Amino acid sequence: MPRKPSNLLYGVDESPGWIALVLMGFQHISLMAIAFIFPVIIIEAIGGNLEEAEGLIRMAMLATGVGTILQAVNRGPVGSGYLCPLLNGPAFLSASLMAGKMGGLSLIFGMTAVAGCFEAFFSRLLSRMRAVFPAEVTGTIVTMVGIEVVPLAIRKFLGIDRMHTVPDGTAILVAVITLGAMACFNVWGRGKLRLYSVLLGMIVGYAASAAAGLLSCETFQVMMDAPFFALPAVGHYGLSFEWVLLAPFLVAALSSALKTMGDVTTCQKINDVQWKRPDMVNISGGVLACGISNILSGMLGALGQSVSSSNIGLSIATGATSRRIAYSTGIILILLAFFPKFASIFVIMPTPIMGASLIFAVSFMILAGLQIIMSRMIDARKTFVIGISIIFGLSIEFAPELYRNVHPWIKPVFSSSLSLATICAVVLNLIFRIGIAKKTSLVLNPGENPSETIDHFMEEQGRAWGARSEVIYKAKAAMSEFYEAVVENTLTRKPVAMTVRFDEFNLDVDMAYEGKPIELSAARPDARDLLTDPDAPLRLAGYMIRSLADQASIESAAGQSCVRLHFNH
Amino acid sequence: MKVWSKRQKDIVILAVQGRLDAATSPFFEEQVLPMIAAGDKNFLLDLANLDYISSAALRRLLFFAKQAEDRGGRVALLSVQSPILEILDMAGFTQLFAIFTDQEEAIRSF
Repeated sequence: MPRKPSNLLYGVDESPGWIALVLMGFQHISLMAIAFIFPVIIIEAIGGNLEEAEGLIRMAMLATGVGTILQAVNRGPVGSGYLCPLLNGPAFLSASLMAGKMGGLSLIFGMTAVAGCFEAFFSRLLSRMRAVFPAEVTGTIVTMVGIEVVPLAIRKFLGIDRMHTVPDGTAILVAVITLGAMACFNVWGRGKLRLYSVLLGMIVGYAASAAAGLLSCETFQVMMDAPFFALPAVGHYGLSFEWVLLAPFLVAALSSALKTMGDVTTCQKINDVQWKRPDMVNISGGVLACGISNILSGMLGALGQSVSSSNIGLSIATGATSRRIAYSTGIILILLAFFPKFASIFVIMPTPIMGASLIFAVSFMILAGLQIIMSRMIDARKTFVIGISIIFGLSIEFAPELYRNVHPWIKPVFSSSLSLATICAVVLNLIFRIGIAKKTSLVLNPGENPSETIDHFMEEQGRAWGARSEVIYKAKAAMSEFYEAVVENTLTRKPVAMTVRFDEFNLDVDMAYEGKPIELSAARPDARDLLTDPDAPLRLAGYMIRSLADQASIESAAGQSCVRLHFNH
Repeated sequence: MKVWSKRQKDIVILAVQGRLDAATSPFFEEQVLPMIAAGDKNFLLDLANLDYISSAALRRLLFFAKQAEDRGGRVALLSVQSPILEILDMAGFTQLFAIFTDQEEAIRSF
């Protein structure tokens, strides 16, 4: 049973009031609005008009609204049960551009639906792939999910958009004011001020934008001209299919699925103070929700969807992760698709406000990934898995020209730092798993300094296994305690053989020796006993061994004794 | 294992680094027992850098505290890290020793 961390105002199962749900829904949509740029990019690339772009944005609202609700469902096989909003993110951008140029919108939608089917199928395999995604891999993915958004966030922060190709001083000032306001509300604000820190920061940002002249009358004219009510043109363009585009769309679907994995892992971690490892069944439900949402996107006539990392960053920052916020966000999005006048409010958001909001949310996201990585012991193998993956992932941001000529089929892999880092991490993890023994032994001879030998042995194994340091510490303490007790109390004068076995859930230690069995006492001797009773030290040692382990037992036959310790991992 | 000592008023502050077990406890006793013999009776053990403590060492710690108490003084603990604190708690020693996180507060408590 997950335990809610104390920094959350509203945990995943809790419900804020109705007003709070609506306000937080708008807060999330404000951040998601940044992604409305992608439909515009697609329409521009295929030579469409403003009306088509507006229609595609409204379909995006409809499809991602349904997707966000599906993702939050916590019963049955579909959905992760978390506040994990979906949007038309960059994962499908490259493949959609290819499809759009080749066969127009109908081909984009047809291929998106096919990609959704693949993603749904892939989700069914995930629960058997735990070994492929250990903490260092998922942590790297989550970190890269945040890092991937950095170039976009910085460009927006500096005021760079389609109209402005160089940094703009006024825009930067507005962005600094917006980010400063968000940070102030979040750090020094209490209760509601922290909860709505992004929304309040955006209001400050809009005021600053108006004062700085970034919101002109023409901007508001777009809103005025939009109709109050209009039915979305569902399935207006139809569906078509092209074999040659199958590979890029499948890679895009895989990227989306891996991104969902990282994001759902983050959601699991931020909602459970006792989080230890990714829950693959839950992740599988999240990826299935994403797959179904993409099938739906294709059928309705919207672009491919993936989980929004920025919104998860927002939920960490505001301390509100209630799944009901996902429902309210989804419902508001669906309604906006029918009310273009209101929808246009989000389309006219000034660039620096988008940048400030992204930087604010991404800060939390990157830290969540680093925390997952550092939850385990790290050795040279894991250092390479994490380091090489991040380096190659970042190379796409630092030197994108290096990957310009890769084959179009695999272009989605090289189109984002997240995709490349994820694939590197998964492959390197599989390679570096070679040669790691799951069972290993140590023989301690009388007269040796056992304490340091056990310490070095378990530290080295713990790092190779990627075990949690606190579990290894307990095992080391129990093993040292045991050896010291049997030797000091002359229960044996022969070597002691220690065998340690590890898998992701269990750490087992067997300690066999020739001699009398040690008593694993259930009662702790008190201070007076320790000062006066000569048997009390051995009883304390037995009690400590038993208490350090989650399960302890002893077997003895024909002069041979064996203490078996089990530690939950 | 290493032990550093310094004095503040009539209190001896002992910083212990490394592992305290059956093998290293005699060294620890070699450092502290002469101090008791010389008349020191109030001790503050700074355990910030202690990596491990075994039950055998805990027992020696108890003897050390008993000797200090017999002379009208006491032993308190400072900056105990969470794994060590867990062991002390398991052994029931958190009820026997005053544990502080702030050195000035610990000094004032004597």
